Amino acid sequence: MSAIDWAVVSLYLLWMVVDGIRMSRHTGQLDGYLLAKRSLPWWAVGLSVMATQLSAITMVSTTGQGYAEGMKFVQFYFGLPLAMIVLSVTVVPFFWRAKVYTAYEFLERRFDLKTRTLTAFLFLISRGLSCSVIIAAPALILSIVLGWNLTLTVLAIGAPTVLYTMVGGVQAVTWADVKQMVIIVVGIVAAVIALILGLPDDISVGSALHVAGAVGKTQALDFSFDLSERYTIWSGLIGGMFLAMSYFGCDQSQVQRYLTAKSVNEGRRSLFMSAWFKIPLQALILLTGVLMFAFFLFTKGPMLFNRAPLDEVRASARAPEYQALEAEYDRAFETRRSAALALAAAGPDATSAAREMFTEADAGVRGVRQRASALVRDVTGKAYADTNYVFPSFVVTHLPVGLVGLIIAAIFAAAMSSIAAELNSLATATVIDVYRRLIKPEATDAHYLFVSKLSTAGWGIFACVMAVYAVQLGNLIEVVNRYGSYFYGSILGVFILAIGVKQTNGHGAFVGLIAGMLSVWWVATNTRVEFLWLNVVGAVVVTVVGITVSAFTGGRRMQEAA
Amino acid sequence: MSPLETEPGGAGDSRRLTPTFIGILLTEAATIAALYWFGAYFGT
Repeated sequence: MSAIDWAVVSLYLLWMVVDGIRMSRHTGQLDGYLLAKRSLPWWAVGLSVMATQLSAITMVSTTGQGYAEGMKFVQFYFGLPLAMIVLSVTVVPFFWRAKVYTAYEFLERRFDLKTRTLTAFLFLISRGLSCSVIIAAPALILSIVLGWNLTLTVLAIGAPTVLYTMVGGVQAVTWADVKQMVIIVVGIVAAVIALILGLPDDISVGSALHVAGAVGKTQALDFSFDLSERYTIWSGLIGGMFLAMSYFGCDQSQVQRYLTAKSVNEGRRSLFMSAWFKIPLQALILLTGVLMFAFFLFTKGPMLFNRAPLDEVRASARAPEYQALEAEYDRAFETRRSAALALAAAGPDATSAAREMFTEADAGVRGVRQRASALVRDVTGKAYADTNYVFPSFVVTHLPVGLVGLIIAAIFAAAMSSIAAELNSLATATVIDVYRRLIKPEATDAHYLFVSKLSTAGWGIFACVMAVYAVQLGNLIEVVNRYGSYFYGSILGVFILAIGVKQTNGHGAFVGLIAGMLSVWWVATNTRVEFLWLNVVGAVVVTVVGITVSAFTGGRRMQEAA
Repeated sequence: MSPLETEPGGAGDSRRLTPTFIGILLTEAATIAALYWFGAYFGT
């Protein structure tokens, strides 16, 4: 990275920290620190909601998915606008008017302490771990692509975030999110423009997309109703809606965003921003990946993008085999390049023979890459995947000075916006649901404020330490979402009982929650049902079991009498 | 009657949001249609 790029990234980090510390002027009391005294405008909260969801994993992994598999992943988000509509008339007014700090606090008012404590505990465990994954994923990739030290990269992402979140509280988090969201969008648009300009002079964007479309990269929709197919329009609309309802409606990292809004309506409008813009934004990020695929059809990229284990392979006894694969890759690339040029020149009028020739040539390149990946796995004895490395490698090797810094800053921004919101919400749940409720209920506001800051720092240190030790996982965004699905649907079921079914009680909710999680675990380990559907399974089981157990334990009246 | 109808801020309080909901649903339908067209146009 050049000095100018370093300057851009450094300026960005400095700006975030200084601006965050400036926000500490408004955080003298607990409700100012955790809820911004419910004073923030809808558009800032809306951008914060979007920035919290869009992590660095989205930037590096979703672009990689676009490169490898095309636009299909966009279907994952189809249920989100539907979820926002449901949430705007259910949890947003309920939480906002209940004047709670956390979603779980609401559950004690409606049910009992054990239901509140269990859901808060599940949140703390799952978010605490996911926070470390959100730091580890970009840190690992940037450290390999840029040759940085992994621990220092974790600290470069984690330390400024912990600092401004700890000092400035939710106001610092929200206003940093606003700036970070702008940087992220500018970074993505700049990458798209650079990719388009990077195509050969005689290849238009339309021609390049036609070529990518010949191998299915532009195909976004799958109408098949197959529960074992990961992304279909149905899993997106139904499973995605349940996941989005749980994430935006029951996960404190999102609930806390709209609890800071000035009014119920401002809270609703903040969620509507995601309903309007999330799918187009994700489509743009995936399109970036598809354009990268088109770019690397005409400009030769490396055979494997994750270069970390390649030295070990080249030093092993199987080095000649790897060299032979590289030579084969060079030939396969040239064959595919010629076929792509022929197909692009023909445009929409291309013959089926030209398409077939390109499809076969692309399969040839993929075949060499697969054999090379298998060789790396054999030599190192570890899992190997390189789709998450395509975008950062493209940025570092093909973009001009300055733009590299901007996009690295955008990746930092995406990571920091999610981490900050998670640290802020983890600290809130720790203090409100555990410390104030179970350990020290009668302390002063100043004491809880101090413990909130301490808790933010504690979770930040925990996440950074865990991140350093986190191992490389397959496709990172899917890992976070997949394990989230083990809890998300079940927790959503508890809130459905709380808000939608008046006759249920705490026993029903508690037993239902445990039954829901066990059911999800059983379905996940014994069937081929894909992870998005697990959210539906969890929510339905909790609702049915919760209603049944409540009916046998006297319904809501029994609980109220007790 | 569901609590959504009877408690403050519930559905009864939110009927004036109907035009926004219709707008969101129409936008989503249009986005899905555009993605279908994108796949069909560039995929053939």
